[in-house]
Amino acid sequence: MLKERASEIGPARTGRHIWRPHLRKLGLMDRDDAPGETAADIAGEMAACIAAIASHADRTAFARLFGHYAPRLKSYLRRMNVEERLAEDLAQEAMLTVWRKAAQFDPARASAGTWIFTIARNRFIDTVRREKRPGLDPADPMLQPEEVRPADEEMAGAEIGERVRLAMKDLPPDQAEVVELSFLEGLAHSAIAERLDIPLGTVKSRLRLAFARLRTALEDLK
Amino acid sequence: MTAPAMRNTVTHRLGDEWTMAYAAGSLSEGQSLIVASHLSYQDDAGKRLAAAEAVGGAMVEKLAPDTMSPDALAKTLALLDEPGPAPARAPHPVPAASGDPLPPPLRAWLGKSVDELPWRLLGPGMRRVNLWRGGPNDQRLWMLRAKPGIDIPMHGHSGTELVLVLKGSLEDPHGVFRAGDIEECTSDIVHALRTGEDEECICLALTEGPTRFKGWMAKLLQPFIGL
Repeated sequence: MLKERASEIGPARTGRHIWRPHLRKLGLMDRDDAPGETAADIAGEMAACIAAIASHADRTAFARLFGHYAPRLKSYLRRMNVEERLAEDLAQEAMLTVWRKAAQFDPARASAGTWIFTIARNRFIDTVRREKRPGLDPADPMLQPEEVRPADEEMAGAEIGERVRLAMKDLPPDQAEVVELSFLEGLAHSAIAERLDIPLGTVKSRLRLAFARLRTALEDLK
Repeated sequence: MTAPAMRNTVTHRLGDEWTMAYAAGSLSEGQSLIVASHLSYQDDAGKRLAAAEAVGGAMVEKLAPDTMSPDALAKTLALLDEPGPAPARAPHPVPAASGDPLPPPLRAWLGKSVDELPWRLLGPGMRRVNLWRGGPNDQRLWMLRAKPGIDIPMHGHSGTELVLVLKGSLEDPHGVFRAGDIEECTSDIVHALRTGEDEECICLALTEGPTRFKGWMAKLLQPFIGL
């Protein structure tokens, strides 16, 4: 499996034999429909597609993005317990938002997949939960970069995305499980505790441990 | 000290499981607002949030693709040239009045400054304003505005409750909480609080109902429950 090559540069993968069947059970395994292309290749290509939309309204690039993400967003929304028809519509609407907001995509902050995830997530909160999602206020000058970015930060989002992806693969199964229930089913901590029949404090500490691993994986990034 | 006054002063932080939940979209609107407000006081919040959101990105990338309807792409392509919706409810353009203690996410959500809120009397030296109610477990988001040196009587909590200090300070046996600091109270915490002596204290609270207090004490403490 060529896709696995990239992860060989990561830390030792203990517990992987447990983890992979676990992934398969959860339907998280990629279908490997593009053999030869690593996840990093795909991330780079997707970021380029968004840039092409922003610079010259490139419909071919949009079709490529749509082909990759729309079916995954639909999967995500189905996991969030959205019924089939609405999941289909929301996936399309999210992709339409990608087209309209392409110029706002900042490859220094997020990978293409991460940015598109946040769009679908916000659409879900807006449409299904009928709530607003208060942002951190990017217009807040306090959260803006203070100086012009060096060239190597231009694509920092892709690097963050790739490292987080690898770190996620190495999470112990009990941490991976709570992360998945949080991100893919949108469960509150108390709901996760109920589902798994474990104390709330255990859910919280597993999520903190998982986050600490991400932080370690990103430590040397500016 | 060269650091701007407002930043780098947060000593009581929420655990990053809250950052993860905020990124995952699993928080209610009220919880998101208090967490985003708390994060906005922290220098590295943007970076931590980016890391947490990247988890969502990685999840979506790894999901087995579902089947879209055959005309999905064609339908979407046909919509590309339609004008987009007017920027829906763009953030309220509320310039920060000098001395306004509201953090940007809260200011944008309220669309008002702190003095324009409909404060009502809660007890001696204390006023309260309700902001939002919803989410699981009947959550309420509200603000407290108390004069300096006010005692808030002993009370308990129902579920997991959060208090973010926006101005002044609050003290309890767990420490002194200043602007940007947050206290997470679980149902096993029973405490009394006192506001700092120097200036009024304004805080944002997210509480859950119904309260677990029973008996005559409950009636006496009702106005303070959840703080």
